[in-house]
Amino acid sequence: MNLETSEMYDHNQAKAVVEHDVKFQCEGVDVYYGESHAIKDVSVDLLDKTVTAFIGPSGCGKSTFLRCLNRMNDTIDICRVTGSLKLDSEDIYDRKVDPVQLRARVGMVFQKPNPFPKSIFDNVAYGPRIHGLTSKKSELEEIVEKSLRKAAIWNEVKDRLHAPGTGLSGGQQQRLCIARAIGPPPRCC
Amino acid sequence: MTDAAMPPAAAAGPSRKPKKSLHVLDDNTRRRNGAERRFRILGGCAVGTGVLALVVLLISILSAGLPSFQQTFLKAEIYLDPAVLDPSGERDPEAISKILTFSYSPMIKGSLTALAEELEAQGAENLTPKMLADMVSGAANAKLRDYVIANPDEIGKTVEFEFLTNARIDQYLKGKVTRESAALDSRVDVAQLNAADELVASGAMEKRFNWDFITAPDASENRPEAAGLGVALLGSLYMMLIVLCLALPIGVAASIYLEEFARKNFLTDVIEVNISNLAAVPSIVFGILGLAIFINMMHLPNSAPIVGGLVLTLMTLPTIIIATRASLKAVPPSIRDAALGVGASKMQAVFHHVLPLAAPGILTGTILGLAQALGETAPLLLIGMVAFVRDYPDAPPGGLFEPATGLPVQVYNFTQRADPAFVERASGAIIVLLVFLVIMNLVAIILRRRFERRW
Repeated sequence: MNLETSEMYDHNQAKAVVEHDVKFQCEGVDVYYGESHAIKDVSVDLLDKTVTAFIGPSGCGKSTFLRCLNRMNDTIDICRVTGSLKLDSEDIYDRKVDPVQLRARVGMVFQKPNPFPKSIFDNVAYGPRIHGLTSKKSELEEIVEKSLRKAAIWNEVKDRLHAPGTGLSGGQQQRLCIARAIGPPPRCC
Repeated sequence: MTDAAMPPAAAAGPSRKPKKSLHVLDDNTRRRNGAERRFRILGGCAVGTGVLALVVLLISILSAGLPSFQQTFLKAEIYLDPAVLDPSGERDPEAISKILTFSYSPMIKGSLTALAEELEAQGAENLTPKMLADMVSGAANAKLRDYVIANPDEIGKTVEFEFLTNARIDQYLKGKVTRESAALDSRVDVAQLNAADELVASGAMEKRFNWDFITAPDASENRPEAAGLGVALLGSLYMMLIVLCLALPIGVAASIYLEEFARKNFLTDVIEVNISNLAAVPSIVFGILGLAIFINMMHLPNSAPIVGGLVLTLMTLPTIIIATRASLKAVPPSIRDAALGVGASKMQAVFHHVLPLAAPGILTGTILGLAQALGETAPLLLIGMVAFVRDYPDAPPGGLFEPATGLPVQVYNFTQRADPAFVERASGAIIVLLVFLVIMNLVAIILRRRFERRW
């Protein structure tokens, strides 16, 4: 169930993994925004422990499809998703699935960097905190450092963890958001 | 520029003369600059008019109202006769408070006679004891009685007491009553004014800062010199407490629900339109509603701050809801996405991230709503807070059910009275009201600064 995030982002080890399991299985996914049919009949398998990229022209629905994977589209009232999306062969659009629980396992980094208007440390620590991963400060600090290292931003911010995250440059902010997304329990991002 | 029209040969030259110099304004630029200049002048005029109106208003209120914070007193020594004030000799507060103001009159008369004789010995010409007695306010007895009840140990001693003078003498010292107007006035004559001059010269009569104007209760029509704002201040304070305790949580909870949780459908649209309409409903309509529901149906007491507070809460709610919804809307949706993307629940996203960012706007809206409620008069008239109330309400919660008035109603009350001395007191009450409003707005600005964060 839990992915080893260290392997996800360590390229040498990722190469060593030969057999990939199917993590996400999507079949006949259609997305409607009100009347407009935004995504038409997409079927794709996303593999475990790999990096998959979607390429296409602007507005072709790359982000919309990504948002289906952790049900971020639920927040848009007029959006409707049909078809089957399975994470570890469980339908994530099943009535029994709580999207909040799903999002704790499927992280998301958005197109535009959107750090919280808080310190860099708090940005990364927010996920572990709300999921109750740890109550000890030292453990929390460890998780934050690990996440920031994986997002390749640790060296730039290690001296100013308590400076506001919004004060970073655009690229740094985006890496901070990546660190934030991989901070909570090990999962797909 | 009209590059296309240029001949190619001219364009090629390295130091060609431009067809149109940048040093000369063309017609279009000149026209646009002119429009901008005219707009700036108009804008400056608009701001200037506003500032001028404000300055005129402030100057007129301050010049009319500031003297009300000073009051004229006549200093005289008085012997507090134990035989009259405390016949039992036990200094029992209850027994002392049974002595009515009527019994104090002979003592005051004696004290003033002594003062007149003393000043006459010093060379004063036109002072008689009766004249002094006429110059002292009818409220002096009650003030002396209050002093004795507060300081029972002074009984049997001779103390220097400051007698409140009546409003005419007070206004004469403030330059409002002149010898010409006194000649036409049945309540003062020129001889008294001469006597007042001598008393001032001898140091027995002087103006000083008068806390009683802020703390004392209202006084009757004939004693403007004793009228104060105490009950009105307490009433306004209680009402503001009620409004803050009810309108802020209800308003913020309603807006968060409507903005973040409720689905957009016909019902929420209707609610939204109605909230906007309620904000525009004349306040007197809320007064009628308060009268019908809180007093006639729920049988809450008349003139009580609880009813005033409830009515003002109803009136303030739409303002707070609109301000709160506007500031919730202003929080960028990317913040909500970010929180949801990390796996926060909707409520966590709202309370951890959206609400703190909206807090400055919510606070500003709330304090502006409170300020509006503080200055509201019309609904209070309908629920009976315009009554003449002399007794301070108790501390809350019991005091919330006792009669009180409000500051704006007190201003209205003062302006209704015939005695010209109330003009000054009405302006003074407005100053107090304005000071409160300024303080509240300052608090709003400070809170805003403190909570403001960039994103």
